[in-house]
Amino acid sequence: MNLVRLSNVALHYPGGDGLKSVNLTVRKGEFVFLVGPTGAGKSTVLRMIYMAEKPSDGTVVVGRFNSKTITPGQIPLLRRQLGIVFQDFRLLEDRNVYDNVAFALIVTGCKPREIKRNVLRVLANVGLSHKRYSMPHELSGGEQQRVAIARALVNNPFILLADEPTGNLDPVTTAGIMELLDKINARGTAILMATHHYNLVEGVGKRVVRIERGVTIN
Amino acid sequence: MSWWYCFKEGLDGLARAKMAALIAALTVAVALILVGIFTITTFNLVEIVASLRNRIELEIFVDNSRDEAGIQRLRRQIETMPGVARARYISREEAVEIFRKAFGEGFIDLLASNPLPPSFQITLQKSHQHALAAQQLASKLRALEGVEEVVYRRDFVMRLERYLDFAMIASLVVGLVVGLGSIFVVINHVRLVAYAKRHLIETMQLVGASRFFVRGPFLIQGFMQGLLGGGLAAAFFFLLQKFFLAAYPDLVRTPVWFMPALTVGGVLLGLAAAHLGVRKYLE
Repeated sequence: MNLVRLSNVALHYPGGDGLKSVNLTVRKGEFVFLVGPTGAGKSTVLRMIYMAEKPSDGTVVVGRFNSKTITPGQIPLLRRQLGIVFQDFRLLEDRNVYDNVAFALIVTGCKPREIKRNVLRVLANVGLSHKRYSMPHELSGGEQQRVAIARALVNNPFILLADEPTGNLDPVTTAGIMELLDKINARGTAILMATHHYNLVEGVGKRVVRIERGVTIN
Repeated sequence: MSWWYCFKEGLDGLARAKMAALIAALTVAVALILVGIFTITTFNLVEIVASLRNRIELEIFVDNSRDEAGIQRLRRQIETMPGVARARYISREEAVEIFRKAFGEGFIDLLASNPLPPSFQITLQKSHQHALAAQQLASKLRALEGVEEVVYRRDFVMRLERYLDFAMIASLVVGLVVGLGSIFVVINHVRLVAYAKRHLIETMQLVGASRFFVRGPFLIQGFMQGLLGGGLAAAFFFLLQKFFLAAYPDLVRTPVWFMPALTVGGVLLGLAAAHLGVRKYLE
């Protein structure tokens, strides 16, 4: 069962570049790497999946949502079913770890008791229960990324989109984050991870989709 | 939950950035004070215009030989003419008294008979208190039987109109520039605040917050800052009125709606600025 399907997707920017022909599927429980050099269009593909961009040509289907028919009001509903992680973590600097994670549930109108239970559960999963009252600037890069992953997971998404999640981390911390992503995937959450580190994807036994100059090569 | 969250998040946002919130409120206050000064100036100018226009009067001198019945007939004719608000009759005897008051006793008493004719003082209706209407009415009045002469201060009226037109246009232009400038400053300030919070807005959208949820806290903040700014501006004019303008009650008046309007204006300005500031970062 395809959770995500991009069919002949193109995106034209006025200044050139963009996407020319992207074909990509992610099935339930799958871990897919999207690899390519900087500027190849990896982040743009992810932006299309969470519908921050709409294709000029082709179709993006994510769950029950289709890029051709989705309305602006439905985009938040789609994103509540996705988890998104970035290289720069994008944590809210003015609130602690617990509040950063809880934030993703509060905006969806979740009940306070459920918020507490889910936040504590997901913080335990990423190994940060003991840091729940810390502020982001008090954490290491790896810990901040774990908070970002916890925030992405707290809504029980069917897929986790990770855009260069290890880009700012040292090799040891990177290995720890990859281990965590593996664990999350083993529990049934599909993962699509964009990276330009080819060595990260070699020999791990996951499906790899290459993208170069806006074209995917399976 | 949603409303409560927006309210709480809005207040928390103000508490987290007290200085920025205070500066925003002060910006609103300064903008409203500038617009307020213009409003009071224009309001008073309009009052002065109304009172000066009210002084545009026509004086009709009646034929001296006309008897009482003829004068009453003429009065009825004058009063029914369009543009005439009131016609006050001044008898020959009254005219002598007025002359005496103006020029003192002596000259008029030397004369064997009273040379002053009876007259009517015409007050114009509001719609006719301008030079053209006064001129047209004067022509019609001159054509009436028994009317010797119609006089009015034509130069005064025309000069008054020129000055008032200029003053109103100048006031409007200055007010528009000051008003737009002030609003621009407030919006720009809020945009800077929104720029500083663009990551928050972006993160909210990425985790699936609806537009209402993203905008809500900013609107609450805009409301609070506008209320504070409007309140400060109203307090400024209240103190100005109490300690300074009260000394010149005839010269400068503040309309009763002014203070509430400033506060409401502050709230609207705060809400509009917050709406525009956030809009830029909403997808």
